Amino acid sequence: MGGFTGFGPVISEPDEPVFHHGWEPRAFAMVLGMSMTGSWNIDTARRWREQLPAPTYWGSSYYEMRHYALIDQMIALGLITAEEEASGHMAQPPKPPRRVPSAAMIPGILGSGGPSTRPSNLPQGFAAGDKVRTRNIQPAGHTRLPRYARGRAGGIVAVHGTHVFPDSSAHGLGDDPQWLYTVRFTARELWSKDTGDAVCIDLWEPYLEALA
Amino acid sequence: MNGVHDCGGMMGYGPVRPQADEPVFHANWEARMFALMTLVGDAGGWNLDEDRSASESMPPAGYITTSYYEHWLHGLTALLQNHGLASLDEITSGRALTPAKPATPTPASAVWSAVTTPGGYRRDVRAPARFRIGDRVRTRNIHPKSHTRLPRYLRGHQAEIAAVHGAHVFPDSNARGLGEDPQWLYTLCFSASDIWGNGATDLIHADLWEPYLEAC
Repeated sequence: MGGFTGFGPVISEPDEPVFHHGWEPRAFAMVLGMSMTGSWNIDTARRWREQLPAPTYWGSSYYEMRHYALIDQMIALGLITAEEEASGHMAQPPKPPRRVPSAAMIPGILGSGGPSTRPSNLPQGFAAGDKVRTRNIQPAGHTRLPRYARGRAGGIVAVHGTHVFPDSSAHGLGDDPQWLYTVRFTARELWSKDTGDAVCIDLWEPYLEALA
Repeated sequence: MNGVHDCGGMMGYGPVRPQADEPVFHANWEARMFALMTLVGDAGGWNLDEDRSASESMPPAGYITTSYYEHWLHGLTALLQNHGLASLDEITSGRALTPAKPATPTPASAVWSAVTTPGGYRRDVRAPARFRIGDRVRTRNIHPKSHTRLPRYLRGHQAEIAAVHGAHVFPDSNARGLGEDPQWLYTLCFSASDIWGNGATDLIHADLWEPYLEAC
């Protein structure tokens, strides 16, 4: 939704509670708990959230959206059936999850933060200071290259090493580690506005081509 | 504005399922909505572009989860208030709370021709057309907060002028009540491959006004 208007101002809530409804911590716990079973990775989970039907996504709150995507994922993996979701009762033995985290494992899992750095033999294509142009890609699946930054010229400002490539990982196609860069785009380039502002986005090398 | 109505290039809506023998209206209130918008619009004195702008300014989550005529209802509700014809309290309660602003209703005998006669948007201007058929142009990368007919996915791209339609009312001005400001209107031909980067040989044609364009 980068570049969309019409959402109105962000109204900050004083003393905002962590959860606004009793069901929200439950939804959060279910999402977190299921992710700890190793049934999917963070990119897969993001893909499922993003591929909710557009009216569902736009019309839902944060935890509603996460809950709907969780259900879709569990049904797709055969961990539950649509009938079980509707009835709230188990109708057939559950498919075994990859792992069942014990309470003792939770601090370790949460503390590790799921690092995405991976070794790779791929040569580094760009260095800080290089000018690049983002590719004009329109993948049907998950990507981390936002629409408003496609086909735009920018400059490399940081090199972060090689990381899991979400466009591959989200689809169960493996980590496929790629070089990750912070790319700086001017407001002039993105929005034709001479405000002096800039947007920095972390982008993987397959999104980029050298700018002659 | 870069609103959710401007959905060219967005995914996730699922397939379009045409309905066999689709009726003109799916519910009686839709016909009523259609009649209200057409005839109250005449009495209220707003124009088609203002009308579109009002529908587009619906909050995005509401817009995407409601039907076509619900968008119209939102637009009409806004226009009635903006033009001082009814207050929100009156619209909500369904009762007049203050004396009505005088308006001339369309006589019943004129309704059918009003609905079926297309409005004319062609206007004469002195300025010559800046572009001719075959010229290469680039669309501007504009992001106006108000109504525009240049969709997001066609901004900042090259195209060829395929037709010159004469000068027409400029919606970006007319929608804001700033006058018709007629501008030359062209059909532009874009390469789908340039727009989507997918190597497709398809073409995209869009009718765009001269202020959206620059020579390249």
